[in-house]
Amino acid sequence: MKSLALLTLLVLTVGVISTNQAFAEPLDNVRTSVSNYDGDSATVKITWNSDDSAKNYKVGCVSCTPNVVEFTTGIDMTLYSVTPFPNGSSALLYVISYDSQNNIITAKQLIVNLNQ
Amino acid sequence: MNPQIVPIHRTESREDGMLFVRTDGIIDTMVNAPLIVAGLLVVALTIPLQTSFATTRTLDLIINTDGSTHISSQIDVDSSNFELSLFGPSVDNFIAIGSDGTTLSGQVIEDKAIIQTDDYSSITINYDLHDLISKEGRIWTFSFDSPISYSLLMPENSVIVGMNILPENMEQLDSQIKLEIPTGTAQIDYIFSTPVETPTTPSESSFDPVTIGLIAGPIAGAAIVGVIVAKKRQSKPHLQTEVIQTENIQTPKPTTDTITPDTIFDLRPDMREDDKEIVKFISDNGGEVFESELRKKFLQPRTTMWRAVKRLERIGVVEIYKKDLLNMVKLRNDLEEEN
Repeated sequence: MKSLALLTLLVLTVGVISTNQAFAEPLDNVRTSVSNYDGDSATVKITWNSDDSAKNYKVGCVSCTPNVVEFTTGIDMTLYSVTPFPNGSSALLYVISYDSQNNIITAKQLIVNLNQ
Repeated sequence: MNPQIVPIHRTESREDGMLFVRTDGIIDTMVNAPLIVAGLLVVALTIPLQTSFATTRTLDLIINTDGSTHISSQIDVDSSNFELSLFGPSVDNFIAIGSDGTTLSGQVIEDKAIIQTDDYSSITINYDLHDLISKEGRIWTFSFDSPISYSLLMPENSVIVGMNILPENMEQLDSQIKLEIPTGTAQIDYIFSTPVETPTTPSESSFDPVTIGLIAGPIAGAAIVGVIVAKKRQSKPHLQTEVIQTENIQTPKPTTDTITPDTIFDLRPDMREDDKEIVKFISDNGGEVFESELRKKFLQPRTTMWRAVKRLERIGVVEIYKKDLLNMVKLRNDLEEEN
């Protein structure tokens, strides 16, 4: 009975992991890296986790003047000439994931300190 | 002859170009002009005097998830009956509070509020406004033209996706962003990172079929595998299973007509000594035992014990039959002398 219970637990665990899409969402893991900051602007690379349910992504910079918007189907995006808000070094960015019917799945706000 | 009389003075006046003006209304004009100018001056002076009665010290806006905006403002007032212009006509939950926390009486008429300030020099007003937020698709837009700088707290889990102004400051408070916005027209577009929950009707299930399948599938698979494993374990008994089963299975009761070991040894004088020990053990246990009991008793491997039992069977001492999927070894009562 003990081995049977362990086997059942193993199968359940494998089942949960293999069907992880039901419990995970796109943009669960978003990372940023900053380079070439000269006091005025910087280059920001944004990467995120891959997810089959997301077909394309929209990346934007709100603190940039004018606002910047880019689209990609990959899992990373590099924004050049990202500017912070006045009186600071924080830039306000965002990433939005869309499904195949162009509906928003999830969105993430990113406050990036360019002076890293 | 018809002499033509021509007035001399008329001809002269045309040549000189003199202009004659009627002076009938000059007195009225001279009297009214200063009055009009004085009236204009009074009106011009009254406007700044009226505004000087109230000075907005702070203005804080909080955007709610339902699209309304909560406005809180601290105002210095200099009259007991104060009229305040609100930022829109769709006002809810208006309340004015004195500097010591006393609620002040007031009345809201469209986008105006008349407040009995009760000689307080500073009051705080709070109200909800539905005129500053619009929505198109999943994008919400905040639009506001402010006479002074103000703070704006965005809703929880909102993501700003567009902005036409540069805030003076930005601060993150858990899942909210607080902005300090300067005077002027501001427009901020935002979305919610997770859809705003709407009440579901009782008939709606919280699980869709795909989710149910993903959860129930592995459980059903585990149950099927468990049943298969259990079946296999029953068909392949091993030591642990046999021990459990022997505890549950009653030892066969001795039969009265069991042949004694000595008789067997007499009839089979060439029997090996280790086989004789097996026969004695079987006889002591009522004439029949499980093969597993023999292995357990004599600490022999399965194959060794199996060969011994088959050897006894060949010489006609025991018979082997299945009982509960196990090998039962029984002494034969019809043992005859070898030829």
